[in-house]
Amino acid sequence: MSFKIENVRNIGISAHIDSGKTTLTERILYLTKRIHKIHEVRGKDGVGATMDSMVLEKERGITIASAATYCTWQDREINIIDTPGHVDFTMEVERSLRVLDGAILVLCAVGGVQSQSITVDQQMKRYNIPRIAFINKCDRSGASPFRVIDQLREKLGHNAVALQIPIGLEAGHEGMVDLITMKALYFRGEYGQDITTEEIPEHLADQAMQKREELLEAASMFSDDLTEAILDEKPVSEEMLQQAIRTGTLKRELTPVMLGSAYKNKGVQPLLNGVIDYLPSPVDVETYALDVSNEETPVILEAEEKKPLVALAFKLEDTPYGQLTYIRTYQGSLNKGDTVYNVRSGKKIKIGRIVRMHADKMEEVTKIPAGFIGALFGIDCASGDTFVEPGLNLSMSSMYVPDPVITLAVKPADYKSETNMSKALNRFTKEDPTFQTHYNPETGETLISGMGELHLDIYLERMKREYSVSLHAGEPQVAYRETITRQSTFDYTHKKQTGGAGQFGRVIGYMEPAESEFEFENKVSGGNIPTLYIPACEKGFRECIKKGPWMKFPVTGVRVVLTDGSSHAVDSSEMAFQASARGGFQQAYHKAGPVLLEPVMKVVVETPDEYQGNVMGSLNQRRGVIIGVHDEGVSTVIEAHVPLAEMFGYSTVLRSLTQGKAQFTMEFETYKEVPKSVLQEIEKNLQQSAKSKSAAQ
Amino acid sequence: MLNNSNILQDPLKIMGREAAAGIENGGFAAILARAGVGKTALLVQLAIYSMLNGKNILHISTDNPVDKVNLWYREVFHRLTQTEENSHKERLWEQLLHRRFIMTFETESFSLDKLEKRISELVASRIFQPSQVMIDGFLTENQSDDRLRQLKDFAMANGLSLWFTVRTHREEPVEKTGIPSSFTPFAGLFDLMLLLHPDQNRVYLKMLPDSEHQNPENLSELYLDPSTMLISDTPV
Repeated sequence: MSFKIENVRNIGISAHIDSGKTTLTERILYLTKRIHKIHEVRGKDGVGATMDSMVLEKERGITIASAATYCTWQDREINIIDTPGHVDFTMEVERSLRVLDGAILVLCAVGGVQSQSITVDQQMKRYNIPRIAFINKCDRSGASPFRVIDQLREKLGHNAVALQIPIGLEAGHEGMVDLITMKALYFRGEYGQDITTEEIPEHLADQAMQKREELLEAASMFSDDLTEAILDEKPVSEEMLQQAIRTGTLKRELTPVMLGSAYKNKGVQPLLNGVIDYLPSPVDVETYALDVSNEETPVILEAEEKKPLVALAFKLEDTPYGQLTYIRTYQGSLNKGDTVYNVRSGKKIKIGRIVRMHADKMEEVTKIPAGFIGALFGIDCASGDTFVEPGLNLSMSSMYVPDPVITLAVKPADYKSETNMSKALNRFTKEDPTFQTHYNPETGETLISGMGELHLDIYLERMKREYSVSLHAGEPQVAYRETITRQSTFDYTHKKQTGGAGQFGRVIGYMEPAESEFEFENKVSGGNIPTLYIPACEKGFRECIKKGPWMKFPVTGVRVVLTDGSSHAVDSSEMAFQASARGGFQQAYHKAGPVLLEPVMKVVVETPDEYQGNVMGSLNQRRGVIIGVHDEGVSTVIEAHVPLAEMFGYSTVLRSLTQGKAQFTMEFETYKEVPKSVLQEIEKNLQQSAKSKSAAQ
Repeated sequence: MLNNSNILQDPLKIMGREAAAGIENGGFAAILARAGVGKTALLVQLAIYSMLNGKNILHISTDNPVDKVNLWYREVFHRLTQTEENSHKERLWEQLLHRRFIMTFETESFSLDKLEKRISELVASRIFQPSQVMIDGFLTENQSDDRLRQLKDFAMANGLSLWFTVRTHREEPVEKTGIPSSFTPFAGLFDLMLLLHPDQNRVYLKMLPDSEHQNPENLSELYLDPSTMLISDTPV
């Protein structure tokens, strides 16, 4: 194998549910001779689609949507990196985005730019990923690729320009006119593998000329040679035009648009050419790491083999041979036998087997140089870990992990399931830092927490399928928080004199609302509380925020200032001051106007026009605030902020309200105060569950 | 009333005209300006003042997506309340959200028929009951005088007042009254017309008709602060 970095493309394929991502990936793998038979994807519906591709993978024994599939086209290497589609997996999406150098944005010629495309596109924008767009499903009735291009401009703000125009649409979709070569392309053979190039059909000649003019105008912004050629009316060579488009794309100032129908095997080969021609190789993009020892300031990396190593483990996979860790090297080279340093855990690791993944087999290699993707066997790490040469302290991803917003109790049904479940949970938590588990000794339950109902559902499903765990899952619980709304003071003395050594500690100060989770400040002067006991006071306060004195939920946004106190020469101890701080916290907390906060989600529903009233009604009922409605002609997009507690089971409700024609996405927006009426309900439920628990014991 | 702080005074009152009182049921008001002068900023500002005075606002946009419109409101609200205490600001914003409904359209799919239909649906389903409709990005070119008159009747029947932003063109001739000629056919339907007039480094806010338009000394004392786009009556 060669290691020529200019020949590598690390790309992702991102798409809205049902715009044909799986089909397109299949066709690409077929045409690059990675798989030898095409199976169709059938019967997809919303959530089912994700599962669908997993089952498909299992049955076929290949990894279509595996973390990174390597294939070759025109002697170039293309790594297709899986980007999970759903926003529930925010961490996972963001991490895989870091690995991409470029992406294909798949859009449906009928549906156009839909809500999820917007979310994914925004994430890509944040990571500065150059994109080319592929307008799929030109064979479907209602296909209108130029409308989709307009939407790309209006909704996503892309400077989108067509590189092709379709020859026929809907049932009459035959092929396309390439505006660079000005030739018509037709796809023959069972899987469209034979391309024939012909003259442009007469009826399209004018349109082709006009669209080529638009293309030239857009591309000329990025090439002086091209501008000159146009002004001097000299012939414009294909290379010149392609180079200009490439420059624009790499600058993220131009989005070339290609089209076709993956299902009907039209337009896939030109798209692959487009990936080679317009998307960047690892040397064309600037990557950076965060300097952990310097407040995570960004440091630019160089895709240079001689430089010190920086590599990211972006995905773990369980295989019959053990844990497979997918790695991308950003700088330096990862060699067999090297000793590297894991920045997160601080452990040193020796590199054993290195492989490269093909769709159906793997190839053993001795190194992964900068810009390449490979996989390691037998490495113990979590996904998102950064490996560096010992001595460096750089991390590819921020150490910041958002707190989960929803929790569910799970109980294995039998002993076998219990061991399997702990295996599964151990793996999932390594894979996904937003998925957390926690054992509650008081109830004997295992609690799993994540970023949304679907997020947890998928893990429950995976436990059943992949680990054959049979379990009982409880009702999902919202992760409430408590906070305070005003300043209040405390003056608390902890005093005990019951034989033996006494205990004495007095704390005086105040607490007030704060921006961050918890702040502590010591303003005690004159040694009224000896410095040696200050950490004990802080520890006492910190203990209280884990479980709020009011409703027993974690407390956030509190600043405690210790201003004064007193101690006793003999009876004061760390323990006494800890107890005193706890007492002080409780004393002040109840006077500080505590309120309960609940996670509020941003919910986006996309529905056919006729159901919009019903859908808005259903969101209103759920204490939702409708932010707005966007009318797209045939469909309507409704955006609302709805408390998570009200969103359980919404997918079923939405389905029955709209005959399954609407879809929704949901992501965490913010924490907000729980209204009084709802608060009473929560208090009542808490009391009831406490009662039933004590009765059970 | 939501507004319990005295900094949020309706700026149009200073102009000697109570904007809110001036246009009630069936009333039309327009903000006229060239592209990029600050129509949306002014419209959003006026909407926020109306909400603070207890009105429900339906905001219609034909060129911005919902998120962007929401961002406009957040930004303008944030600037208006800069001196307020954080927690109070948050609460006020929360309350305002319940008084606002954003509706956006693809430019090509927007029509007055559709707008009337949507408003009727909203009201009938008791999801939102607007009292003032702000229409950002209204194209006069394709409208007839009659159609607007019908809209006025519709507004009257539903207890609505309507605000429009109207884009004017740099080259187009201006009437003596200060009204751009493309808008003249409709002027009779409007109870209030505000013109944003950029002059050197300032954007003046003036009320039409104004026969003194040609004389800069007599321009109104209100203008948009170029750094915040907020209405201001103190010199820069």
